[in-house]
Amino acid sequence: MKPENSPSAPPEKKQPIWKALASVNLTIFLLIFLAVSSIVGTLIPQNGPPALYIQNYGYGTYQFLDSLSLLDLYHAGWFRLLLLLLALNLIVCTTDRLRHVWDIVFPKEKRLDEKAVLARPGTRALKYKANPSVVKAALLPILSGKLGDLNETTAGSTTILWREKGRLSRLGVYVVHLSVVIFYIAGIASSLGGFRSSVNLPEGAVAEQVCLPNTDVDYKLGFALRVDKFEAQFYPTGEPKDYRSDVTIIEKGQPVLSGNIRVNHPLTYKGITFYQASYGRFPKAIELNLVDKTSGKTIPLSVPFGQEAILPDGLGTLRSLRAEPNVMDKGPAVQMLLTSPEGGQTDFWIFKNDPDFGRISKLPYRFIVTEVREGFYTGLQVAKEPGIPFVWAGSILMVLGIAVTFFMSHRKIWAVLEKKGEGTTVTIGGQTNKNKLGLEERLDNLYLQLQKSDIK
Amino acid sequence: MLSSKILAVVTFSYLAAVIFYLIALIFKTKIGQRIGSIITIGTFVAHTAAIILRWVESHKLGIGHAPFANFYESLVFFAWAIILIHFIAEYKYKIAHVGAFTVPFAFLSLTYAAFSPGISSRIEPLVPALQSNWLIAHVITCFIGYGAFAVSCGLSIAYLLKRSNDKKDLDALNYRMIIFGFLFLTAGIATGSIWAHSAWGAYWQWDPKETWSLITWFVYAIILHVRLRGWHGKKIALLSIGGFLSVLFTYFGVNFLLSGLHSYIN
Repeated sequence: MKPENSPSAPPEKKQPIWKALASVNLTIFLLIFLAVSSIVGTLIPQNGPPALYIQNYGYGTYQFLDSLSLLDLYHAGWFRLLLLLLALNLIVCTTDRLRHVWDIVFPKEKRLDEKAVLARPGTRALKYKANPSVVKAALLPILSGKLGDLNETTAGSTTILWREKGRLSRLGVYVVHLSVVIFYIAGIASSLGGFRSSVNLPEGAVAEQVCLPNTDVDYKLGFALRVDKFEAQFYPTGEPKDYRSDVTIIEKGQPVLSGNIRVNHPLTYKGITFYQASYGRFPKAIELNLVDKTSGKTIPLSVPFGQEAILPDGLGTLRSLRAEPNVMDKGPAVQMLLTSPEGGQTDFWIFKNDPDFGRISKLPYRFIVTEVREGFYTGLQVAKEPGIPFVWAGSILMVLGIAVTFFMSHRKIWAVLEKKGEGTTVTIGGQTNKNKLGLEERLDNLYLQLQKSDIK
Repeated sequence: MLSSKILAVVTFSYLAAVIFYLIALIFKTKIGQRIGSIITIGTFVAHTAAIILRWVESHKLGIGHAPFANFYESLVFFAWAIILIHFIAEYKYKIAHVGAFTVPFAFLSLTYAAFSPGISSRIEPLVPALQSNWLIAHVITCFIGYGAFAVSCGLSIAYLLKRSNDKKDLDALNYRMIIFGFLFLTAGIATGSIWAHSAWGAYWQWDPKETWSLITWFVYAIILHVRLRGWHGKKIALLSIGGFLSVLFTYFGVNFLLSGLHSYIN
């Protein structure tokens, strides 16, 4: 029982470069090189600011690392070259072997190499008193089973009953190699036709374009996304439970789609997908009480950010500039801009806990901050990944390919019937391209079954 | 929590099983092997029950989710996966004494989960990033893969220690375990990548966890290819131990030494 080894290339004259690119040694070398470089990439922080490296490693080392592109290793030219070489290696190796394998997998007719079988038929022999044709008739129901159709080949007075299974499994390894190439296509498609960006939008804001990272270029969405509401929910323990942005897609001034974006539940419109990535608070308006210095009468006034609030009695307008949690160690404070009716501008701070500190004496009011109203902004990741169907296809093919490659085998099992005097000798044997243990087990079972049967 | 109490008993039961397997190995007694096997089966049943119970308990707390939400739960599941794969080696391939080399990994994982001061056994609610159906597919595929690699590492140690010339079966099974682990690691990376796309908007970002899972994948891909060049036995055993070190770094090292997107695991 000689196992068929991996089919080797047909003996043609080949260019040395072709031979090198088709070799498994190159594959092993490239995999080791890729693994080691990837480790280096996880030990040196990637894409950090130069100051970080200079501080940690010194200027000379920083320059050295930068000259080898080790600070953005996974996008470096040499790393891509390694990946490209691996792809070439896979493709050349596959074309080199596939033609030969194809003939085995799709033979013009079913065949058995009788000479090879008769040279080493196997060690499991049984002797019967009946003549070969009687024994054959008795063997048929036992042998024809799950493995496939039973074939018969005669060589002189010897009859070989054989069956074959799993020819297609020889293609499994090429499916795995193909899937790797499909992942490359995914990467290329995403980097050529895709983009990724992020945008922070307060409630009520509308985005029509996003800024592409590391460039000044704006990407026009072709529609507008309005954030109607953002909500963060928490468990009683304080851990986050849900982040949700309610949004409306607006096209040509008309709302066309309303929906929400949550973590793990992105929203896709016209190939562009929005993901919930982060959130934050920002001051929306400052609520003031104006207390008349003489009468003590209180007038509430709301001063929104980005808009002017009109002071009573034609005293001018007020604008909110900043709201800070702690100024001069005196606690929360807001900065306001006062525009007088004549057009003169003054800015001043109002301290929430000490309203009379640094007040403007020209005006007939005291200012008291009652509340800084906050709104949410939502941080959305905006992306277009045309590679994703390829990622799906590559993943499915790779998993199936590995399963077929390693868990299915191309097997032949045979029974050689030889006439010995008046009786018959039957020898059970087989061959497989992998998992010899499994075949031996299978042959043992068959042998036992034949020993137990009542064939004479 | 009842499940945590069961798991404490489970931890020590595995230790008892290991002791009996070792007695069987050292004193060549069949009875030790038998007792070790029986304890392992019984403990595995309790282990499985504890995982299911934890799931039920989380629902009773009103934060129901599969018990794959934090580091503690992942260690418990890792141990479970190791024992599951161990059964394949012990019963399907009938490798005697394999328990002495595989069950210790499960015991160590559970011990670490129980006694490390930084690990909380509390049932925690699921943070938004983990609220996905991909969680179950991703965790199960990864940990079945890790379990197979742990068993392969155990078989490799057994191979290196065994003083006999008849070690072919051990080598053949070791190779099959690597293949099995490789299949599940591939599926684990694939599900992780597709999940990352729906959670973060990018299927591959060279985050340390992603990169180390790929490094581990490279290591086992190298083993499968050198096997094609005829390597077997001791060389494969040594490489498999190296591969498992890479698994351990992917699982623990990345969490503690490198920061990245998976850091919420702690």
